[in-house]
Amino acid sequence: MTRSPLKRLAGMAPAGVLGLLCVAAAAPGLLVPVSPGALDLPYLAPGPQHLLGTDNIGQDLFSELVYSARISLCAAFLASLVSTSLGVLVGLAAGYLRGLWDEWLMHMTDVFLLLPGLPLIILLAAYLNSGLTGIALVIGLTAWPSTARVVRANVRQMRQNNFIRSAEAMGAGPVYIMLRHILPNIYPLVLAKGTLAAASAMVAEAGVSFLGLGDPHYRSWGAMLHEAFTSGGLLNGCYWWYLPPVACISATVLSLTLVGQRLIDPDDVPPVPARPVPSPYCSDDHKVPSKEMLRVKDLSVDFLNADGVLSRAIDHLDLTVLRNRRLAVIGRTGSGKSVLLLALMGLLPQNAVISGRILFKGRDLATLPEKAFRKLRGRDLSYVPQGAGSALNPLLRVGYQVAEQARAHQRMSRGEAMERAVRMLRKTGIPEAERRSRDYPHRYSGGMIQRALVAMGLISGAPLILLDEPTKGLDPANRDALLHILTQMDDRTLVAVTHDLGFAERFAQQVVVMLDSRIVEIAPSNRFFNKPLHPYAMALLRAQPRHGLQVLASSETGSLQAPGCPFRNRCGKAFSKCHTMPPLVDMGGHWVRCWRYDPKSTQPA
Amino acid sequence: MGISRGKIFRYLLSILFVLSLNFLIIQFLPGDPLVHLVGEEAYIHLQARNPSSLAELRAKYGLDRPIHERYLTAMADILRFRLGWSYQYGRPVSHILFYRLKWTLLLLGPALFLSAVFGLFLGCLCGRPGKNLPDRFMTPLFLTIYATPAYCLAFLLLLVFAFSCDFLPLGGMTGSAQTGRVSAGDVLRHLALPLCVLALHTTAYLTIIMRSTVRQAFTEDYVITAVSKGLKPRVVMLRHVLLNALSPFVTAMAINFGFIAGGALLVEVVFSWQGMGSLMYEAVLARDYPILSGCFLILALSVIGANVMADIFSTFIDPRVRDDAVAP
Repeated sequence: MTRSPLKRLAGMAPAGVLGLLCVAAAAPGLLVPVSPGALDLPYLAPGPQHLLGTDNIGQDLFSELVYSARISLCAAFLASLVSTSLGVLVGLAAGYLRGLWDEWLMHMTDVFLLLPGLPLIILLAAYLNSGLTGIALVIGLTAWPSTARVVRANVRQMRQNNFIRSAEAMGAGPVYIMLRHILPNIYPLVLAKGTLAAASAMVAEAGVSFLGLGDPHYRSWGAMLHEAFTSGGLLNGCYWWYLPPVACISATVLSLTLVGQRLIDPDDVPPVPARPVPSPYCSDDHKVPSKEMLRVKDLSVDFLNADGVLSRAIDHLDLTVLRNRRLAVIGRTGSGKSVLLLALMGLLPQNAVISGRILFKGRDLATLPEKAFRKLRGRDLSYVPQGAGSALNPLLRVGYQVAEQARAHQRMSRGEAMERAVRMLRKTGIPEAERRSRDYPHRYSGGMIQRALVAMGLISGAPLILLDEPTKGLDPANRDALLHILTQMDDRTLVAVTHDLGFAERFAQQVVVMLDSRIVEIAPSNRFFNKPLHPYAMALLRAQPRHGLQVLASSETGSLQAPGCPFRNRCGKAFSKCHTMPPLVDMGGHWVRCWRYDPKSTQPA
Repeated sequence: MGISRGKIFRYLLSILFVLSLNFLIIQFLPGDPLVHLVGEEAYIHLQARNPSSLAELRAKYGLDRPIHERYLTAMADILRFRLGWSYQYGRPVSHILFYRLKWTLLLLGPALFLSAVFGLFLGCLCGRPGKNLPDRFMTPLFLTIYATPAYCLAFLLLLVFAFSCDFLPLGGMTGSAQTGRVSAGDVLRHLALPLCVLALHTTAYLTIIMRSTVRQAFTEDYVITAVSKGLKPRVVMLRHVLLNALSPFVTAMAINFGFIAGGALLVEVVFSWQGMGSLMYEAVLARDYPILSGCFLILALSVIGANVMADIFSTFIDPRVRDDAVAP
């Protein structure tokens, strides 16, 4: 998605403002014909002679404004230099050395963070009676803690990286590692924090100068405001005296802030892709036969990344899920199976582009407006998220969150819903469900969270339930208990995405294998686990413990952009035809995407 | 239950640091500490006329004693609210401070309350994902307001309101300072503009903070879970996003309390509102050091107090903090 030229221009504005200011600071003579010392009549309003009028002693305000830019910018730059260097120093040391160093440096940082900046600067400036450098130094000395904290957090994260570990293993000293390995890597962050520090330093300097504590020899914008305020510019209505410095301060601070934020977070504004256009479809598509729960037709999902490049997560997927059957989707991380679930739930992130159709209850979910989709969620199809992350709200009681699902669509009292939630939790194997339902999620173990999520998915009685890695982090006993619950439910259609082949074998009646955003095999569970057809599926099963853990020799991923079968480089049985994408071949209810099973293919299976 | 031991230690350390800093500035910065006690004019006068009396005074105030003794005396004085003598006003600093603090609180309290409410609301409005009209208009506006220091904003508002309409005064606290009678309506009329300026600036600031907190919250797994339940957008926002954003928001507000209060001080100067800000301004002009360090002390301690309050608030909101399971 390309931005409009106007927006691009607006994006350049902050840099433009800063560039202009730098010119003004470096060579004020270029912009101003009148020297700032020249006197004319006082209180002249803006006109051709004096672009911004004159002040109470008849000085040209425009030239003063331009000459003041140098002072304000220098003060801000110097203060930012001091605070950023100090912050980086403390942050580096605390983050890298850790232990007692870290603890005390962070104590010190927090103590400094709590000092109120402006009052301290006023106090020190009043005592020191010093000039511009003094004030800039004082501002710098009070502003470093936030930089130190951010740098420390980053360094701690970076310290885990292999290149730091290997440098340590080679015997490099801490100072060397910090300077040569870590500092270059946090350089963009330092630059961003420095820019933001310059913005707040400019505000602080202007404030101190406005109070009349600035250097009398070097007048900054803040000092101009002080003059305008104390010499009656404000009360006499000489708006030309104080508005320009106000505008300059605010434009500079805004520009610095925007540039700094852009540096920290380059894609703060994610491009919003166009909503999918509802495609007209034949009327017979409208109705899914009663035996079918869900039919996915030619579904593709792409993610638009920050550079405006689309990357494909699901590629032309067709799938039919029969009513009251259990389906397992297996495949490794990144094969698109979790994205498939999110697409079915309409929970894809903002930057996803979806095409194709998802037919469910006579509707196309791919183009369903959010409002209508909301009414389906939880009631007609429910979702059991992965338990490994923070799928439960940390601030609400577990029982309440389970009950919330029930209450979202059905009229029932709070107590009634809670009762049902407790029953559901007990059913999924939460011990002392009554008491534990009143606990907050952080008191639950990983396995208990997973079971609570399943309880949440089941409670509303939705006919179609989508489960994302339901056995992740469960021990064998818990896994068997969950399996028992899920296989008991004959009146629901279950779709589970999983890595766990052992679980898939016992859970599913139908298995779908995904590889690099495509389906490569669909088969009834017993046939699949007895005799998988696709070389990738065979490799997956061979890697199971009972088959002697024959791990795939190479984990090289076929590039999505390269045409042909994504597995051909690792297959070992690939031949010339594999450079084109094979179709799904029907082997009598067992579908496989491989040229070796194509009847027209020359190579025998 | 409550604030962790590490936090309490950190706050005590902060208080000790603020008190010591205040002491050290008086003792070690250029100039005779005696100036701090007798006033600049009297000091110069004595120095010219009667230098031996300076030594006597030094002995009287204990300035000739070793530093640690002086430090302990100073700490004991602070504990008894003896913050020194203001030669500009001829009264104890603590009396003046507490009188002026009232007026600052009258300005700062309502401004903070208003901007917290508006900031929460507008931040939620602007932080929603997807096509978001309020975000497109309000965020640039608020960024601009945030980039304009509060007292500059005061200039602008004065230009627009006070000169064009007679109802709102240019500054001061009451219209009838001579008679000494203070009516509530009069004070409110004088409070209106400074309050607006401060509330507007702080709202802009807090909205920006809240917006990024909300945007962050929307990427959390539990919000996706909440949406998958088919909850109404309003319920997702209030119960799942806002509830989780509340504690970071209040913490951010407390950490930036010093910044917000600093803005209030300068706004007071513009409107000649007789609070701490004007007090500091007058003290700067008169080089009244005891007042300045007293103001610093009060403000630094209230920033620490604000953070303690934010931590207590977190323990109410977040069960993990109550259980010491995470640092807030």
